[in-house]
Amino acid sequence: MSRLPTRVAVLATVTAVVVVLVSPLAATGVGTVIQQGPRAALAIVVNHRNPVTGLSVGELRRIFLLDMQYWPTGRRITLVLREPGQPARAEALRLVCGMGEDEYRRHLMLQVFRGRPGSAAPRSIRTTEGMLGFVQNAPGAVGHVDASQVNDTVKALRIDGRLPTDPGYPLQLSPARMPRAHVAGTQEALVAAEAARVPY
Amino acid sequence: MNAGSPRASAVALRQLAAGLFAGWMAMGAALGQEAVPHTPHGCESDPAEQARRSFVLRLLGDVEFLVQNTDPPSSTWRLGQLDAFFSADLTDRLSLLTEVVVELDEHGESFIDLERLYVSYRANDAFGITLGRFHTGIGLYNITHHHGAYFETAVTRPQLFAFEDEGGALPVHEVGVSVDGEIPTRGLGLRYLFEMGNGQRWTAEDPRPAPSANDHNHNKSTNVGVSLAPDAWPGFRAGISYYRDLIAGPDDLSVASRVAAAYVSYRRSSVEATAEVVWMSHRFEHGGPFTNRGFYVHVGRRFGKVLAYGRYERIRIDPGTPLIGGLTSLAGPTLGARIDPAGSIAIKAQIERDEFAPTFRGRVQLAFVF
Repeated sequence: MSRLPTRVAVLATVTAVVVVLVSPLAATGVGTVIQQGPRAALAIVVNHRNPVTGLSVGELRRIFLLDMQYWPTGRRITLVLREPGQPARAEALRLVCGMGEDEYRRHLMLQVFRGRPGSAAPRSIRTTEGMLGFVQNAPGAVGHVDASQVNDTVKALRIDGRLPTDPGYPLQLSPARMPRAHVAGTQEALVAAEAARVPY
Repeated sequence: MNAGSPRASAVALRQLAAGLFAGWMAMGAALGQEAVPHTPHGCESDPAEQARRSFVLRLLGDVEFLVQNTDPPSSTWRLGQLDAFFSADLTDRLSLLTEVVVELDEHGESFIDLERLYVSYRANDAFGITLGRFHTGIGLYNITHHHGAYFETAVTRPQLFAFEDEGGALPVHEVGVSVDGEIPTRGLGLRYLFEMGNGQRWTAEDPRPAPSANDHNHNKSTNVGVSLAPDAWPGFRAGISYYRDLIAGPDDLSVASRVAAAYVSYRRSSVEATAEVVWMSHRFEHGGPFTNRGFYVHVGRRFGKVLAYGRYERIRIDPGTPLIGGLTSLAGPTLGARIDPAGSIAIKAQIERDEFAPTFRGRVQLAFVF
């Protein structure tokens, strides 16, 4: 090859790197630690029989994106989300994946085209009660609820080593999603949920 | 007709594809589209049983208008591929996937190609095995984008990863076995890939290498690859792969083929950037090697609902190269934009320049999935 295409390649690569660097990396909120004032949080919940007690944000993202499909025990992960169009789902996708609904839907379709099993696609649940009931009954399920609504039927996971009530918990909801008097309720629910843990 | 000839193999493959297509249509009608379990009250009575019964049925297609400044200038409407995709989970770990494409050739004759057909068993995230016909794990584009233009940002694939029957130089399809999985590492997202298959073959009548559905020698192609996607850098991915094959031809003439590929990619909601480079080496068993290189760089940035993208690609084939020497070289930029007015429809427009030809082309494409 002559030098010209090599220069073009280098120039194009540099351009690509610049585009990457100026992109709004932090706009997604993934992994962002918000520590000022009491805020509502997104709790990630699993079945009590699941021995997993915590995930990193990266692992959670890979579960949401269907790149991680099995728990360490070998059991298949069943991802459960709120129904499309519900604010709770939009908030979960924004916090965990940095995606909107349309982009997430396209991603799921593409994953199936790449050979991911269709059954790995997330289930859609209409209500918080439905979500808690599903996770309570399905050993491999992982779902999301507002931290103030966690009860002793499910187990809230630590994310990056922190519970939803801990300072620096990475999945803080935006103020618009913050329910009233959530802090005390969340604490009580998490204590009760921890006490109700049963061996796998 | 010699049953072992490439033409006979192609006919047999098309008959098999037609049969599968008919069966797929019948099954699709019976099952309905993407029967993912769902209950109105949100609590399923038997999640494990529901998980076992998951079927996905999709159709993809595209229509394109092409203008080019040839002499004389020309323009034409073109029908793209009609891609029928079906996958089914037989159990929690066993699944099958078929992809059948119907398309028209330049004479208006329609034909059916079985593009992918495989059964996969996945023990866990660290180990999965696939048997059948799949896309070779060379580079990133070929395992990210299959048939169906809807999922591709641009109107056209990079020429580097063009399909074999569309002038592509790489063995993008393979019949054989593939093993892949995650290498347990803390947050590095390391993955491995190993493939072994029939590789390619060629004939005196048609010296272009073609995927071999029925191998006639013991030399199997192999491909190994590793990739990296660190949790700390969401959207970033990099990888390398190395492919080798001894492409059997007539009169015991064989061509040794080697393909090395490397890529880096970054993809988030508002930005996408990918750079891939491939080295291809071909030589007769007792001849000197011919090495050809190709690369492309793609960048895209979303502005509201519009995704603007640009690509520069270059692939130059030495005419003396065994088997692929007759393929077209290409170099030049592509600029375009894509908008998704509805959830399952994409409208794309792009202009391309080929510095070797040299020509300008303009394309507008409507791509859909349902």
